[in-house]
Amino acid sequence: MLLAIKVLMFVTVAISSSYGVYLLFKNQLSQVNEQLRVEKRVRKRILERKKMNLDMEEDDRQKLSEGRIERILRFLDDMLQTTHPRYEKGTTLQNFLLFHGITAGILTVTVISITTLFFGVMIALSYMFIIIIVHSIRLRDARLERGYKLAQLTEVLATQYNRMAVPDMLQVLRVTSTDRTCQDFRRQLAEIVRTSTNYLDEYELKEVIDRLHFSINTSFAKELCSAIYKSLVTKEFIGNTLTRIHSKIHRNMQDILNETQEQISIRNLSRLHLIAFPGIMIAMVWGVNISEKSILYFQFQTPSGQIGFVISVVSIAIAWFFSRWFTRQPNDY
Amino acid sequence: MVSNYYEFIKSMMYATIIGSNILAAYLIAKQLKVPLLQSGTVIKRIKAQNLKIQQALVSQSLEEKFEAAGFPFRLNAKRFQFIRYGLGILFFVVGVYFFVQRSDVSIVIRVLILGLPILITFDTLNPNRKMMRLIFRAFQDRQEYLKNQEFFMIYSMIVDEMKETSRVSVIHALQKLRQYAPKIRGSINKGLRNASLGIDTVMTTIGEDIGTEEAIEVSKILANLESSSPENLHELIASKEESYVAKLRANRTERRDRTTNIVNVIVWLPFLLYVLNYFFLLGQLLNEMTSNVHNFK
Repeated sequence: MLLAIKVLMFVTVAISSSYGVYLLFKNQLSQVNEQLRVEKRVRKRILERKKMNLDMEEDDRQKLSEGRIERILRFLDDMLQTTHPRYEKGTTLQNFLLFHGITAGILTVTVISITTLFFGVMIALSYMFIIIIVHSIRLRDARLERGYKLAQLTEVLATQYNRMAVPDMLQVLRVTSTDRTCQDFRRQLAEIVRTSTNYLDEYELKEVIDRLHFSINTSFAKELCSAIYKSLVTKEFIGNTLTRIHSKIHRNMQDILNETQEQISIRNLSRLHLIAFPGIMIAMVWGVNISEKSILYFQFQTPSGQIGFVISVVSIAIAWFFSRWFTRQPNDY
Repeated sequence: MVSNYYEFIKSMMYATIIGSNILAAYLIAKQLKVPLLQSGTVIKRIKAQNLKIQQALVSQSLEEKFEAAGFPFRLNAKRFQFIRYGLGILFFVVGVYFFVQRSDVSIVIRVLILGLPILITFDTLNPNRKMMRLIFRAFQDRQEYLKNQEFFMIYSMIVDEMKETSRVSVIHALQKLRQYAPKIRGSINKGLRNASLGIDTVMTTIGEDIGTEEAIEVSKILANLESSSPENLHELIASKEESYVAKLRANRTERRDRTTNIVNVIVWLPFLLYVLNYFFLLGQLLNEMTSNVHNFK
């Protein structure tokens, strides 16, 4: 009790004295902050003017001015829009970050309270590693599947567009987004339609179309996206381009079907590790009772056992990643 | 006699590792040796010397390599050299600490840690050695692939427009279409600045600035737009693209054959690792048991 009061007193004294020091230097601090802000603004303006003199476009300048953290957040948002089944703008990304942050925190605190600080930090790092691996595989799988389904989308787009007497891309996209054969692209297409009716700056439209390209990421998707953007902005005729992309996709799919071999054995082996590693552990805990101390003690309480555990978990994750990454072929050149 | 041999081997290891570190320091100092200016104020001389040292560290050829690789991970020559020498110095400090203070650690491990900075700075992260050459090559291939992808996209769009109306100005079309190709937009801008010198100059400038084989050849085909008919041109470009795609496909099958072996090794590796882990655990368990038995005796 006395100790708690002592600690509380120390904390209050520390907080109040540091607040007093802050009050003493408040004006100087705000002045320095103002100077820094002005300097930053001037430097940003100079960079922008330099880009303008180098004939760079508007969106390039905007992309260059955004920071590293913003870039990563935008990537995560685009990724979740592709992979998450019930995506909502804003909340899904927040929930994703909160869920994994809290899980990692709880895991680390639990592990530290049971074993050592070193093992807790290692567990947190390997958790982050596994999360990155799992989500990159999910993104790749979604992209591959959509890359093969792109053939149907181009078919519908080309037929709808070439059938019209006066071709209008917006109308075509509106019809296509409700088509049953293109349900996977419905979310992105609807967003393009919504934006193209009420955008102020062309950059907004381009950002939305970039999301469609992000969710497929093949060279056909790139051509299709730039054709859609071109026809939405300049109202030019792109029927030839659409038919050309469609025929190219079909030819490429034929070639890929001829040359791919399924490598199921590698996949099954990587799944075997997921069962075998904890399976052997359980068998040894139940079967090997030759000492007072359990085998779990040597695995989790000694430094050599901890390092062995982390190395085997990370290597299993890497094996799973490689077996998933190299066994399927994207619909691309 | 045996201890004599042991002492001899130990001293040889000491001599090798210390000698190689001194040699490395000498090589770096030789590279950075710049004659001091004779005239001017002291600050001016120091500034000039610093500039020359920077030039020696961050060479133009290394910067060009990074530019060809597309600045992966936002790295340029300066940052890369900073990381390379920084890692070297860090491992050197750790090695010296282990060498001088921690005599309880085995001599082999101490010598290995002291050898790490030389390995990192002069072999693994040396841009002229095999490892970094392979990494640069991989990034450069990726960059060329992206550039060619945008390049063929733009030229097939121009050809599509040509199908509609027979007369299309290539310079005008490039001006209009360059916004869809962020990777090669700089090269197109560079070419379009010479628009007054004629289409030949524009196309050769663009092709040479992009730098890939396909870009140079297709640029040459497009420069002869005035003299050839649109259908002829379309066929020429399509055949060029098809040969490029065939090349990519051949590369891909070759790469798949190469990676399959590596993937097999990687997928078998965790089996070895966790079986080893359990063997160590069993060893510890047996050790514990025998020590208990010994105490009871």
